[in-house]
Formats: sequence, C-alpha cells, structure tokens
Amino acid sequence: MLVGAAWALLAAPDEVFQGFPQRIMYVHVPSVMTAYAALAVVFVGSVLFLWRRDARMDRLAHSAAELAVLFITMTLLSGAIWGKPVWGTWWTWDARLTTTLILWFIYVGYLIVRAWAPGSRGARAAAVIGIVGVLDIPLIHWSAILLRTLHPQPTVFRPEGPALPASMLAPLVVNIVAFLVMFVALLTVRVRQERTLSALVEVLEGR
Amino acid sequence: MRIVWLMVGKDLRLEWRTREIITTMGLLALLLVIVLGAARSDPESAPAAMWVTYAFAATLGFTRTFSLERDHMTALRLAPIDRGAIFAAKALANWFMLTVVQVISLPIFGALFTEKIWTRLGALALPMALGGAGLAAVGTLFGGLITQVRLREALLPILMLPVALPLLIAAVSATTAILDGQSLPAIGAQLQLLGAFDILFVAASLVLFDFVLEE
Amino acid sequence: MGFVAAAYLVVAALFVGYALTLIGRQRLIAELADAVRPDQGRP
Repeated sequence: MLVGAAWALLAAPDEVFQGFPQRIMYVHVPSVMTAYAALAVVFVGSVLFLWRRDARMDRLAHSAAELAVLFITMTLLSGAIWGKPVWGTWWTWDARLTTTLILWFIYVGYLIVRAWAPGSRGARAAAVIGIVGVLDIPLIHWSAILLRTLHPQPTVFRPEGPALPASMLAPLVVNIVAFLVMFVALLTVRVRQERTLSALVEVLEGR
Repeated sequence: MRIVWLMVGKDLRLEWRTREIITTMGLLALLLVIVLGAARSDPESAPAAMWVTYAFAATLGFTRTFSLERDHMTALRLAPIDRGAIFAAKALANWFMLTVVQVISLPIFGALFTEKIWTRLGALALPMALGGAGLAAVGTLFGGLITQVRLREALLPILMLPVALPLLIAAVSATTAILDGQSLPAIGAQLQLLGAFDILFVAASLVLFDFVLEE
Repeated sequence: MGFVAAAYLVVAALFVGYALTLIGRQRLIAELADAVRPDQGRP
C-alpha cells in the first residue's frame, strides 16, 4: 500500500504543467485536504470517546491528531514555498492561511496535553480540545476574512484558476488519493501501535 | 440559576479575602500596558495593546479559580449540582475579575496612548464586554481542563490563545473602529463575530464541562 | 526550479520523519514485549 502511494506521488511531476512552480500544487492541495480529513477523524473520535468512553476512539483521535499536525505542517510549508515564486512573499494573512496556521497551534496543543497529562485525564482533556478546535474553524475563518477586508493585501494575489485543465486534474486527483491512502495507512499503523502499547502497559502495571 | 449566583458569590468572597488573583492579574496588566506603551504609544497601537494585555491577564488568572477550592474540587464534584452550573459560576467569576482589570487599565491606556479611550467609553463598553466574556468562557473551559496537568499556568496560554484568536481579531478591529470615531452599527460584523464566539463557547462548555470535571 | 524541489523535499522529509517515529515506537513496543514475556521470541 505504501509503495503504491509513493509511486502515485512520483507519477505526477511527469504530467503537463503551467509555469514550473505550479507543480507544487500537486503536494500542497492533497496535503490540505488530508489535513482536514485527519481533523474530521479527530473530531469524530473525540466526540465518540467522550460520549461512549470507548478507548479505541481515543486512540483513533490521538493518532489522527498526530497525522493532522503532520499534514498541516506539510500544508503550511508547501504553501509558503509555493507562495514565494508565485506571489513574491512567503506569507499573507489570507483567510485560509491564517486558519491553517491557527489550527496548527491548536492541535500541537492537543499533543502537548497528551504528553504532559498521560492517562485518562489527559485523554479527556485532549478530546475536549479536539472538539473545540474543529468547532472554532468557522470562527477563525470568519475573523480572518474580517481582517483581510480591513487590511487589503499590498502584494499581488493571484488566485489559482478555478477550472483546471483536464491534463492537470488527473494527476491532482491521483495525488489526492495517494495522500489519503498514505494517511489511512499511517493511521492504521499508529492506531495499532497505540493498542499494543496500551495492552502492554496494562500487563506491566498489573504485575 | 440561584445555585450559580450562590457559587459566584462564594468564589468572589473567597477571592476577596486574599485578592491574589486580581492582584496578580492587575499587576501583569499594568506591566503590559507600560511595556507596550513604552514600545509604541501612538493611538493606532492602543487596541492591539489593550487586547494583548487582557488576553495575557486572562491566561494568568483563569486557572486560579479552580484552585480556590483547596480540596481539588472534591466537594463541588460530590455535590449534586449540574456541571454546567459550575462552569457558569466559574466563568462569571472569571469574567468579573477580567472586567475589573479592564476597567482599571482603561485610565492608564488613556493616559499613555490616546484620550479617545475616555471620550468613547460608552461605545467601547460593548466590545470590551463581549470580548471579555469570550475570554472568560474559553479560559474557564481550558482552565478547568488542565487543573491537574503539569505546568498548567504555562499551558493555558498555549491552549487558549490560538482558539481565542478570532475573538481577539474581532475585538481589536472593533476597538480600532470605535476609537476612530465610528459608531456601534459600523462594527456590526465584529460584534456579530464576538457574539457568535461567546455563544458557541458558552454552549460548548456547558455541554463539555461534565467531562472536564470528571476525576 | 529550486522551489519545487524544496517543496517536494519538505513533504518527503516530513513523511520520512514521521515514519522514523513510528519505527522508533515499534522498537519501544518490542522492548516492552520482551519485558512482559522474556522467554518468547528467543531462539
């Protein structure tokens, strides 16, 4: 599965492109979509964990949160690297960038709480963060739009054309699928690790 | 509802005996005003300085109301009170203290930055209140979450500030507009955001506080 | 152009980095498993 994902990723650069830096889209867009997929898993896992007290949901949420931070980091960095040649700047306070950055901080906070408060207290605290973070997304986006309309961007902001030519759509979709597959693969591995760890810790503590 | 007010009264009376929370929050706020004012005291910098100050005062103070209970909240946990009521009480107490800090800081902001703070006080009150309430809601929720975590006072800003950023953005924007001379209808969008934030977080906290207080 | 290479490299590095943490944790699990059943898995 992992090999398949890697192959799909490498296939993309062979396709047609417009302006060399545009190629970064093939990793940036899948990153952001996978990041949001991961956040959705964190949210659902956290809700189910608090509601049903199912430890499996907690392990799922925790693993998904790690991957969410991973993919958000990927999104931010690939976006910034893309921005420099295309917009002339590493960063703007556009709504999507700001939202992504804030989400990074919120979910790093999730991981810190789990690191500093192991056990069920930490799990519950993190679940609350997981839920609240996702709920905050519309508000963050709204406030970032507010910010932007009051401080219009001085640099030239060239939005990507909404209609992609078919020759670019295909590799993009391939990459999105590849990223999502990678996400699921990593998530599965991570969740299994957590399950094994929990079981081992239980045995060791029972001694 | 009566229970909520009873608890708020209890927390505030407890606080009044030592006044430690308000004192530390107030001193930090004062320091921040001065430091920020020394850096840039032009009128345009005032709104950002104000809200940075309030945000950090909040992060300093809001874990403490849970420590007012010496027995780690056992009595509260055992009492047959709806957890939402406990949240409401703590949040109201926190909001009250933050508002005191806001009020005390206003003259100093006025003196160091711009007198418009005094002249526009009436219109300023609404964004100040809504923003303060939002900070109280988020701070109480997260403060309650981490009472048993290591380094909780260092952790609260890390958890709280990213989540509260939309609130702060809206508050700064609203404050800027009011100090510029605009009237309340002009900041309708910001007020809506502030209101939405407050409602969302109060609602979410009322639901989630059961889980926050579990032992 | 260097930017594209940099972006792809960053993505790859992040994946690799995460994979390394997974491997590291797997080793930890192996050690713990040994502690639990020291007689299993030895020739």
